Amino acid sequence: MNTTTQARFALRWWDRLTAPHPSITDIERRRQSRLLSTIELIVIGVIVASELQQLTDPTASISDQLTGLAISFFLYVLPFVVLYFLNRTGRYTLSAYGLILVVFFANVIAPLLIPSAWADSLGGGLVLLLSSIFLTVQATTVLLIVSVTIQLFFLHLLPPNGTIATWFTIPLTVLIGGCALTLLWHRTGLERERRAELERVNKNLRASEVALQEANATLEQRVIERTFDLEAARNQAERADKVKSAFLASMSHELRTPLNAIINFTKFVAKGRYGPVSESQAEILNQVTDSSNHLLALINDVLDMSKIESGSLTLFIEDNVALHPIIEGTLSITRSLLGEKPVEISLEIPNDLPSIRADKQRIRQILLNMLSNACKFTEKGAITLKVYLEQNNVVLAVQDTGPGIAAQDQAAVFEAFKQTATGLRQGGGTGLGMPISRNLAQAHGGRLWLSSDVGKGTTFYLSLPIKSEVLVPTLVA
Amino acid sequence: MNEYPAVLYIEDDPLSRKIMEMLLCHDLDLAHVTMFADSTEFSARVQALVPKPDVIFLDVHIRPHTGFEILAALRTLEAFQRVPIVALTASVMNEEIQQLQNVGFSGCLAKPIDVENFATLFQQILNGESIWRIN
Repeated sequence: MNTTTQARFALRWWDRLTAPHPSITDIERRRQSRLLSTIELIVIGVIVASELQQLTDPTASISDQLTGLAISFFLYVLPFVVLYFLNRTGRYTLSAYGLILVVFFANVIAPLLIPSAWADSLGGGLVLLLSSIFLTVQATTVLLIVSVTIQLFFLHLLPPNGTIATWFTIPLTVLIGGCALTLLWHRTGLERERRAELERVNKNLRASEVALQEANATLEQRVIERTFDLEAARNQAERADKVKSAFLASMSHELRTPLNAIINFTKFVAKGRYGPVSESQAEILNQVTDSSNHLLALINDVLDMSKIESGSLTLFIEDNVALHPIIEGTLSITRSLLGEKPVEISLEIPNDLPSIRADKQRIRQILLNMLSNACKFTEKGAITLKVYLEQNNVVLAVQDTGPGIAAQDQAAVFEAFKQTATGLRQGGGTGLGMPISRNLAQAHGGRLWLSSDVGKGTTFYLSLPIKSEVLVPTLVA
Repeated sequence: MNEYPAVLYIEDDPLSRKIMEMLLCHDLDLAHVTMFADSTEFSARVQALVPKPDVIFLDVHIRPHTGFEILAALRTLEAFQRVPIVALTASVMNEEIQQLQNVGFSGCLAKPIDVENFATLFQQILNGESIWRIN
């Protein structure tokens, strides 16, 4: 074991003995400070009392007494008072440095100036050194008490000018003073290290902060970029939607224009506008017209479904749509659809039917679809259109005496591009009528559904809100 | 031959013109039916008409000026502010009808034209009714 290792060992031992417990709290430290201050006050009291006792000694001259008093004051009382106030501030390191200066003054300067203060100064110096040590290391309470006991013992229990005191105090002062300085130096080193460590941690923290800020900036940038991308995607989708709508509109226009010629010229020819037509020719021409009309209906259905599927369906909403004309109009078409079939059509309708907020054309479309559907599937019996009010809704129910729809087929009725087994057998139509109608009803805030008994018939129900809040009149009159 | 009403039809599709000719000149036996196959200098041509048309049918997809432009130009002329101007078009998707209504067409007849009911509709238009026959 060399000297450096020994010194380190000693320091470690001293540290372990004197260092405050790691778990020491601020409250604990304040309590120590309070205790220390109390002890200092007691020491001051004892010193003052002993000096006063010396003052009353009749054998000493007045000037000796005053000199002794002055020495006592400057060497003991004043440093202790300073110590007391420094303790109160809790700045232990500062107290220690200040007191080492005082010790130096008391042990070196004062004895040079006042020879009679020699022994006293050694004792005082010891006291101050001890105090400074324990203050510096923020010693535990037990060590403080031991320290003060030693202080009092050397100061007052041993004869002030006695040989024993001198012999003890000189080496003890040097030893303890050396220890204190070493310790202080060590502590300062530790503190410097700690500060450096703190600085390093701070630096890391600052670096992290900078990194975090950068990450934040990057994140913001990315959010902006992502938002931009989303915006672009949305714009693109909107553009695509517009293109789709434009395409559908153009399709409608392009298909209807030739049909205008086909249907109307066929009619003109059939009516003999361009010369006499035989009966069989007229019949064929009428079939051409019917087929053309059917084709027009199919085109309308497909375009409607495309609009619904692309989400570009718009309603033309009017505030006061009277249902009577729509019902009358569709019923007259229905009668013509039945032809020679033994089917009776009847209407049950209240007199005070209110007008509704709706797209007139679309309501007509739904109702016509319901009625023509009933005509298609009813071979004999009756088709009844019942209109009634239910809470804030108008319900139009079309009841037929057709074959009915099996439970497992009912859902498919409202699904696009699906037809039931019966529907397929009966032929005709795209199978889009009901899906379109249901979508149109829903777009009005209404419902379309059915109930059916196989072999007895089917009833389709259309429920429409009288004044739907979701609908806004398209044109402000 | 009926002197009243005078009708103007602006349409680039010859078959559509032929159908309207059948309806207006033969069925309704009107004396003053004018048809423009394009909209070149339509303003001057319309103002030069004698007698002044009592009803105007407009194809929306006419060139070089669209039906919308023709309508807007005609409505600025004192003599044509009250004349019914009806769109006769195959573009009858909802949003297109909306557009027609918004810009101030008096009505719309969809192609294919409903020839059976044309006379009735025509009379209603003359009476100042707003007719939107969309399918």
